[in-house]
Amino acid sequence: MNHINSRRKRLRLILSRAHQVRQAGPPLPGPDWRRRVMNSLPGLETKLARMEQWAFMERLVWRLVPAAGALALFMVILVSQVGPDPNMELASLISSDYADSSLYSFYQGEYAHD
Amino acid sequence: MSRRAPQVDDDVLVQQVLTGRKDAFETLVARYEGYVFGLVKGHVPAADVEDVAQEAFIRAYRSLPGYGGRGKGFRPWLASITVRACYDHWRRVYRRRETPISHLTEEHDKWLDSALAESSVRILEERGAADQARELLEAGLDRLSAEDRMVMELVYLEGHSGREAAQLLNWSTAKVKVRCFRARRKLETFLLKLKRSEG
Repeated sequence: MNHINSRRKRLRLILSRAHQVRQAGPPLPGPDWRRRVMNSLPGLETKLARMEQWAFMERLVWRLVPAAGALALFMVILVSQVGPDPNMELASLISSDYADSSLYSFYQGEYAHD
Repeated sequence: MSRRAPQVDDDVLVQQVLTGRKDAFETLVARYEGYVFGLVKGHVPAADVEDVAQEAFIRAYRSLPGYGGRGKGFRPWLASITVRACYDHWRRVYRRRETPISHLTEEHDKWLDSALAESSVRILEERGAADQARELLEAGLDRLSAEDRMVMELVYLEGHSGREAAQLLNWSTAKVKVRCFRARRKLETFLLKLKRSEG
């Protein structure tokens, strides 16, 4: 156990030194970089507003994903229940809807003189 | 004899920026760019340092209205923003899987074994040792999540306390401690080739 602990301590020392070397890294970038930072500030409000809009859209899309998934699942179940009968196709159901024709005749009979 | 102009206080400069004097922010950038670069260099690859440091200053500029009355001073406030910019950098990188995971060779294993076996720091000062150690560090950190990476760098490598790291990352101290414990075990298991039960 002591052997493992001493290896751990030693490892920490090695990695910490490597980290210190990394921190020493490249020198400061100079006035060009500072100018770049300052130049990015004036258009920041517009850019942020645009980013906010995108973020809002993204959130909206993700919120709709479960509802869209549930709807797709419902449709799959519905289609699998109805089966491949051509008489039960959506177009046939709509075209043979008696409610439509009855309303149409009602409209023709009662209000045709208007 | 030239006399240096007295340095304007950070809080005064912040107030000036908030009243519309954007040039005052340039003074703050000039004053703290070295500090911010020093922080960023320890957390992100050299190629991304400039961009992340820029991101940190832009975030600071955007957050200036919320700075007033903090009492702790501008420097720790900016440090916290910078560390979080580094953390977000890694979250983006991990999400996109931009950087491939570094792999270790037999040569790394041998070097680490001999470095662990010695009690002096002599081997660490030998030629090529810095590269070996850096590659080992990067390979180890690559195997951690963005959260674990940040905690390990702040606590394990830089020696911040759990409370300081929590303040920098805006997390709870308990979260930092738990993360640090798990991440350290993971790193040691990988680099020391320990079995899980030994941790």
